[in-house]
Amino acid sequence: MWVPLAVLAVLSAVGGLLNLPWAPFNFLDRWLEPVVGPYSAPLPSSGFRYFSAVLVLAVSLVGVAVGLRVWERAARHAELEPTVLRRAWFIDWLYARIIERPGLALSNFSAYVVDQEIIDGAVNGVGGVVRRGGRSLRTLQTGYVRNYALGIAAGTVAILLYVVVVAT
Amino acid sequence: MVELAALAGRVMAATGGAASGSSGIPAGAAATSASGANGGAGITPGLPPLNLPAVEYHLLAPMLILMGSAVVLLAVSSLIRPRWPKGLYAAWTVVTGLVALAWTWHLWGQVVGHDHPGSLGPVSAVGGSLAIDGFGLFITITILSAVIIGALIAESYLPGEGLDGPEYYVLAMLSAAGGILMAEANDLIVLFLGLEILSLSLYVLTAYHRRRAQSGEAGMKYFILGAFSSAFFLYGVALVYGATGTTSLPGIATFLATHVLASNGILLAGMALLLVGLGFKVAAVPFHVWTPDVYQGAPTPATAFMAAAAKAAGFAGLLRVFLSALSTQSVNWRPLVWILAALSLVVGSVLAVVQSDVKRILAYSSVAHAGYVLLGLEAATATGSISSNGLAGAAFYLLAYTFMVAGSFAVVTAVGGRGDSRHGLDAYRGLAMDQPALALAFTVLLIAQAGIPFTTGFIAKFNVISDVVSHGHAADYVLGVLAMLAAVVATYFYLRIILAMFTPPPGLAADAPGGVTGGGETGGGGPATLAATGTRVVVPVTLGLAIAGSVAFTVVFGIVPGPMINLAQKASLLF
Amino acid sequence: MAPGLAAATAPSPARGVGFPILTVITLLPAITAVVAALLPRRRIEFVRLVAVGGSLATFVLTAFLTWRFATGTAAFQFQSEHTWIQSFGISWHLGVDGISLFLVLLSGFLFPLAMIGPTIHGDSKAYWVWMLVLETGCIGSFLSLDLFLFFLFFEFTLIPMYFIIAGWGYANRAYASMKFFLFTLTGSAVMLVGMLALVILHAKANGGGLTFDLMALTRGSPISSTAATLIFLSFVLAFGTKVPLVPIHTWLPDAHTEAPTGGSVILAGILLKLGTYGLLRFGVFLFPTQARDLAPLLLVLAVVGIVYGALVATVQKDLKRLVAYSSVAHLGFIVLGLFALTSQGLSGGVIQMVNHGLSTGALFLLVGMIYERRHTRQIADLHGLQKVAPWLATIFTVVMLSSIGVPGLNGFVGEFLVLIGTFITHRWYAVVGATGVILAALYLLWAYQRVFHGEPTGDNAAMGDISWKERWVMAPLLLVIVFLGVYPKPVLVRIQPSVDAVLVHVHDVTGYRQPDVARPAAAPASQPETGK
Repeated sequence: MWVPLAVLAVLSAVGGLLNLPWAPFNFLDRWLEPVVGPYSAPLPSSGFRYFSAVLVLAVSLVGVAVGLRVWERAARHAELEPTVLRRAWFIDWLYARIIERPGLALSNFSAYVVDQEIIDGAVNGVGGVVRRGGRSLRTLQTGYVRNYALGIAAGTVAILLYVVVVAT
Repeated sequence: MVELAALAGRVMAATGGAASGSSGIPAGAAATSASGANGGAGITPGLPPLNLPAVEYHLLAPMLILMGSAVVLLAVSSLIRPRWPKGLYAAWTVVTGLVALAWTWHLWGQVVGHDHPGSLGPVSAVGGSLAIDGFGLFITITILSAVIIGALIAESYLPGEGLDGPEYYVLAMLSAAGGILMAEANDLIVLFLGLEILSLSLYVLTAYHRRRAQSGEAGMKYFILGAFSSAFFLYGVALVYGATGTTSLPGIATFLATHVLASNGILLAGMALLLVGLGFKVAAVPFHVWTPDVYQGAPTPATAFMAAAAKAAGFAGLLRVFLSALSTQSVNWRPLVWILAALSLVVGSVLAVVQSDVKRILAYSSVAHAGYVLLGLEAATATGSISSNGLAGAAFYLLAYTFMVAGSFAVVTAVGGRGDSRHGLDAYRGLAMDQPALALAFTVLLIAQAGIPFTTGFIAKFNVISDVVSHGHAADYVLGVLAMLAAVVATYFYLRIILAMFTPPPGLAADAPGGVTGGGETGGGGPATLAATGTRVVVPVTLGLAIAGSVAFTVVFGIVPGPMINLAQKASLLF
Repeated sequence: MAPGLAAATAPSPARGVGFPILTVITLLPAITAVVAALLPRRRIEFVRLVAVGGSLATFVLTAFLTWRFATGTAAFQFQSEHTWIQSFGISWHLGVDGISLFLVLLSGFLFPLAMIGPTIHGDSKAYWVWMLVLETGCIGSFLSLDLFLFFLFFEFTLIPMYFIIAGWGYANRAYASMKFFLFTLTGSAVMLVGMLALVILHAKANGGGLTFDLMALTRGSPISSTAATLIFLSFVLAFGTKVPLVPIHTWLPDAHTEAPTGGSVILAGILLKLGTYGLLRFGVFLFPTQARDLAPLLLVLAVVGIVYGALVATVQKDLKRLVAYSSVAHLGFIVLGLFALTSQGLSGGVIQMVNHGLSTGALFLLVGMIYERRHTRQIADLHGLQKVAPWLATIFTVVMLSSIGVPGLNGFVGEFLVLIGTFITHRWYAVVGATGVILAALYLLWAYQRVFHGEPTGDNAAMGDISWKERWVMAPLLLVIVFLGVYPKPVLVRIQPSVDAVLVHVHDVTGYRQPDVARPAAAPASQPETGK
């Protein structure tokens, strides 16, 4: 397990050197040019960047100092951690309410109601209709010649009716 | 027709009735007026000679070969000692069939021509009562194929059932001769004649198995219902004759083309009744009710022959009557045929889904197949261009169907076993382990019937659907889609049978140690695993031959259908 | 002649190989199947040699084909054409272009893996025979340039797949195989009528005989717009059932879950692509006007598929069923790219067809390996497998990340191109589609966590890791997944011309053109002003 950490540690240490605006660290400046074309216009730079770098560094160091001071004795200071912080600003709770539960409900609905009952129900229903149709038509085959002859006669009458009514 | 009229005229004259006013028989016979002009002297010398039509024996040869062979077989067999020689009758029938087939092919060359138009062209024979044209010859080939395959199947069935004897084959050959007569009929009366010859033999064949009550029952039903519908047919003939004055198909066509009927009720009623009579024969809904019981009850070889030949002959008659004689009335009969086709497709497929007896499943599926052929009729025009030639589509379908269904019933015969009784789906369970080649053959035949590519079944369906689509009206598209959906429904029960074959029977280990033995040969080979019921399916040589031939035809012409399609497209009518 | 068609029908660059390679590639598996079927079952090792050898030989031929494929041209190459059924104008017409090349290669690649990778329970010989027959059907479909021939192969693939599911599948296989067969057959059945209508109406509009040839059908006067729309919809129905598009997708979860491992690999890897390939080749290319007009409909269906498939996958309790639904989602991406009707979208769709085949095929192989050991696919029963089967877990991780679409692996390339291509013309569809990437991460990572993380207990602890043979089977898949993720250029450079030719054809017929986006490095694809 230490191997990934070692890799990360090394990269963290030296990674900050990437993209410093001096050679040889700025080799990534023109890396994407073959695809996206040359930069349109580089942002104007001013002396402000040095000031902002120093400011950021100072604030970070102050924060580190404060943290060391507060937590150097004990890791737990219940009075400093209101619920909202302990519960990470309730963001997880919010995600669960807004995304996870409705999402799962939608998924379950899709899988077990729409897919299984509605769509598959229709598919199997077609088979069922054919089966039921077959079973009811089957009752016409009684096995008795008289019924068969009646069937033929009925068909004849129907055709004759059609001919008489429609065709003439 | 000429002879009858001449006779009638002479009788009238003999009884002293005035010749001219006598019964209004159409003056198609010069002899009538001639004898009438003689002054009604009675049967006295000095009569004009009988005007017998020329009988072109070489054109009628296929039919005559069958009839003659049947009669000779009957005579010869009565002279042989009662120990039936093994396989003689079947061999005789097969040879007869092959000889007739060869002659038909020769006629085809003369009438239609192989590479270039034949020298003869389509002709009418026997004074216009028979039409020897491409269509008639095509159906003849179909029926003869059915005879040959049917004989091979019967040979493996009859001895085992104790029904050996020449009668079966005699009846089959006579029935086929009747079918050929129907296919080549150029006159309604001749058509009826062929229909009756076909049917009467089939009635007896259906009831052939003396010891099975089902067989007798089926024969009885077929006979009664067949007579019932033949009566309708005959009445239809009479009505059409009344309306047009002739029973000759070209005569009817000419009459309808030249006359406008003020009230065509009689003609249409006659047309409807003709549809009923022939619809019964081809098992179109709602005239199909006899099919399941008769197919199930008849001995399976008879079912095979019946399903193939009777349907082909029936459709031949139907197509001839409606396309050559009544083509001008197409606006009247096309909607009827549409309804019949749609009903047959739907009812046939849907009812087969709920069956558990394989013979009944195949019976209902043949009802559905009748629907497909009716698609060809619905879309047909008498002289269609290649793309819309419903006649060719229907003809090709009949040929492909003959092999598929005859082969299928051959397999059913094998599985049916002693007593022709094992037809439930359970009988097929595990067949693939017992007889792999048989199961594979049945699979091929069933998926061909379903219309899966690389089989003639697919090409046949493709053909009729393309005819329907090229006919182009909205109703045609609907019918086409309906036909394809019916094919999907049908696939369900075909697959169910196939699945049963490949499922191990209950009580047997799914994979026996060492796997399934045998190299997949039929008949011989090592002791295969027994089906759960303990009976072993045996495939005799002749049966194997029949099945192999059907499968070969189905697959080979499914992959290279060109020759068969060309053949069907040349199957045009006399005019 | 319109430039799009000219590009596609140009005579193939003269780099023939001396024998009808496409016909051989198509028929070799079937011939091997016949030979293997005739061999006695006792000599099972010999049968295996023949069967696997045949499919490997096919793979070698497809690789050779790829190597000899000429880049920079949209023409159909290595064509072979023989009249077959003259009266209908049907010919044995095979040809390969950038779009079909990699699908054929994928088929050649996946089939041997599906045949030797999984453990086969029951009759191996029949299994291999059906697989080989299926291979012929798939490759034939991808190579056909004749509508009838395509339909023949397309519908024919249903039979071997049915037998594979019904013969070697799991508990509910009878229902699943029948459902698969009848469901997809219904679509094909309607397509047959549409196809015939197209051919016959085309013949009537152009005089002369029937022809089923793809290129011939795109020429000549068009048929009536109503008819074309209805025919296009019938094609969409057939292909949409195979893709599958929601809501005609419900055959897929059952079929994938109940199929044996090898069957699932081919079903997901190749058979689904028949649908998307058909949509492109016979939908967009044959019916440009309808494709442009009905594109919103299909884009909506695609996006619905992406989101719905992912949502349903999230709550699946069966690991294999989860992967099946992920296929629905991924194929939604492909359809999204295809109907964006932009160069990037189409290329993305085509390359994603290949990528999905690789990653989902690998996923099914891995799930099969889990099943072999634990005899359960239920996520609830599987826990902590990472500890006992690290190799399995590692390979699963890589494949899973490819399926999610993480940059560096092949899935990203396709999804990225699709999203960019859709964003150009249909911005909001791309936005919703992009959420599909997040959802894919959701269900896959959550499933991975439940199955692989934690402490293994009970039977999970007793499970062994995958064997060396299985590792060797997964290795080629992993290699290609990584390779395509890092260097997809060889694939894209061959796909691009064909895709552009399709778009030029669409422009020729409809006047539709994707908006120009300034691309500084590469010259924009020339879109000549030959309006109609």
